[in-house]
Amino acid sequence: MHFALPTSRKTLTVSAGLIALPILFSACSSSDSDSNDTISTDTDNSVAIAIPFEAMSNDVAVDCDTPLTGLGTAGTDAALKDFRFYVYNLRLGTNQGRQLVLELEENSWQQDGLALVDFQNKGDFCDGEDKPTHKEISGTVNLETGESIDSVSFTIGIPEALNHQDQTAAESPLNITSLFWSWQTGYKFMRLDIAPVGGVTRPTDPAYNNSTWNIHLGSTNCTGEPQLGETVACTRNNRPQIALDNFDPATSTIVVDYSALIAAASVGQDEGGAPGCMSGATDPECPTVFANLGLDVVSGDVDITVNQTVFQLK
Amino acid sequence: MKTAATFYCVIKRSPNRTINRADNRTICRTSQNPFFILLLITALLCGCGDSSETTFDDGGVSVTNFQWSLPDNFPLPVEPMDNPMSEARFQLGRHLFYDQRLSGNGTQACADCHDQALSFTDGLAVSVGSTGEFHSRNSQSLLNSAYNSTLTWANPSLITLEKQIVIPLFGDNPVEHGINDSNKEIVLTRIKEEPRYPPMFAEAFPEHGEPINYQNITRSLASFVRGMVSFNTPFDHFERGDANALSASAQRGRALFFGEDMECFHCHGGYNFSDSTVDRNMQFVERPFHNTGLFNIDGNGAFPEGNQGIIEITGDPADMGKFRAPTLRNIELTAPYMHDGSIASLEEVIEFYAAGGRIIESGPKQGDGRFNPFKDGFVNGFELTPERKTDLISFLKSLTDRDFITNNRFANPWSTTE
Repeated sequence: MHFALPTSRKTLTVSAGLIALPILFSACSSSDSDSNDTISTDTDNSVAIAIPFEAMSNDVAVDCDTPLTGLGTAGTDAALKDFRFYVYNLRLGTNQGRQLVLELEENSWQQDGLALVDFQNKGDFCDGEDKPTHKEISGTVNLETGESIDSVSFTIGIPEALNHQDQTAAESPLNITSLFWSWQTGYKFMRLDIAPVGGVTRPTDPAYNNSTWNIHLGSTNCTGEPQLGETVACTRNNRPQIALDNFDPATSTIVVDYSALIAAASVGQDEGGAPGCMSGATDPECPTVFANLGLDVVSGDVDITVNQTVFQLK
Repeated sequence: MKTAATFYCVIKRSPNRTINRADNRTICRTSQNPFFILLLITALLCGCGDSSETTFDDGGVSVTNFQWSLPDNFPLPVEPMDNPMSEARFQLGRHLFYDQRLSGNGTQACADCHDQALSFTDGLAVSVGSTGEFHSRNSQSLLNSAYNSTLTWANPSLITLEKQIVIPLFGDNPVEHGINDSNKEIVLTRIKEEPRYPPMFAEAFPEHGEPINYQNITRSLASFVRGMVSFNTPFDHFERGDANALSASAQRGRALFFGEDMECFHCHGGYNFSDSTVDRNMQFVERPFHNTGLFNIDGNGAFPEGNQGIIEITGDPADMGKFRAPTLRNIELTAPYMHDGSIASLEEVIEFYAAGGRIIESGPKQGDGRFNPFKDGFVNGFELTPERKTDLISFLKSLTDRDFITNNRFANPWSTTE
């Protein structure tokens, strides 16, 4: 695990560096290195894994160019504005009962065990020029002879140690300004924005109109300031845990079903709070969105009494 | 009170007091953050080099390399461990603060909503961003924001200027400076191409090979804003023993202000006239927020949608309508008032508090704020005679620091040759 090191580290004199380095090393060592040690003899069985994602809405692939139709309780049509989310803690279960950490390939979409999944194929909220997408998470695991993968699990979000870093110095994919959630001192874990045809109105306020209906998922009610030596803590973590059985890396695709996520909402309307659901515990649009992600909207924890309905295997 | 002890360990400055070393050791050991230790070492080393004013023996807590120009015996503001104050960073931040190139479309500088002549406010009810979007909030005075225990009108999570500045630069709801993924490199190129900047960045961040980046931009801006300290008002002179600094009316107003009838000082107390204040001498940091009864739309305490205070952060229903009490220093210059700029004059503000809340007779915001169930217990009204009102306003005007709004150190540097 790597921390966002303040650049003042570099201002240290040589003597300070000598003092500081052991502290840093001891602080930054992680259990990952231990597990690497134990399986280092199995490097011959290192297997490259690619986990493909598809975003669908009412059985139509989601991208900037295709209208979304028949959404929610009112069957609303809409244009896509944004469709991205972060994933970490990827684990693969095997037929021998092991849970293996997927060691992610490091690239501009993936760092420190974290990946951005991005279906937004045009910049500027789908109004700009073509931009790359990232629909496949790549990494490696070490399998023993005869061992095969049969399940996958992951967390939606950004781990605490990365979520509150200095965004102005963050590396890709954590340097994307439209995913900064600075007023909540972190990042948007998931940003799914649409522009409903006819805009968003509010039944209680005839003067209200907004162009987009948004889902912004992220940790809220955070306190503590790393720059002052404090540990940041958020009382509502809002990190969905997804576990999918019968996963075969050779044939399976993880489908993200937007129409299922907003199935209980009327996306051309907003009953209150932010237009859509921006993780507000009292926002009328949030309870069903959170439940469909397997989260309790009040505590922000995983709600084991509900099953998430958004991620499925194909 | 989770932060106080760690704070103390890092920042306590008390040359005239005894430092509790046992406390220091205990708290430092309990810190979970490796940077904390690292930066403490940095701070200590800085202290060694500053022999004229500080010594290692005071615990490294009075260390500063910046000429704060504070009155005698005034506590220093907190300096983040990874962005200690320096004159070079202050001056670089000053240039960036007044530079419209630091916006997506090149039309907006920090100074456009924070005008020195208005104590770094803009005179509008709510501010307007670079692309024309309205902010939901009134531009705040930046004076003494180094002493704010939280920043902006209502955000218990925002404790450092470095974190706060990311919001106007990159925020998209609303768009302020409008720097985004499409233009952020273009904006940075504009900064790199200004001949004044490369040597200033190099001086401010000598350890960096390529110092012109957004991290150093925000650090410099934070250093400039942090350096905007102001304690040179008639009130301050009076408190330091100049009995003639306040008129008789202002002195009567002072008694009213600090009296238990009007209760003003409960929220606007202390040397910075805000209960949301932190400095290096404080062992316990408070970060309070208050509902003053401006609205009560549904009879259950509701404030207008999209501008409801810290409930937007905490989600706690009891936090409806709670905002930070701003400093009253230079309040004469920062109309209109309140988080939404909905009260035009000081006279009306005083009438509002005298009534113990605001009654809105009609329209979508109709409601009797006096009966807002979340209203602060100290906003319960008081008797207001014309004389009392005049005296209170005389006192509030004694909180105006004219030097601050004309001080060249805070002025636009691009119009000069320096």
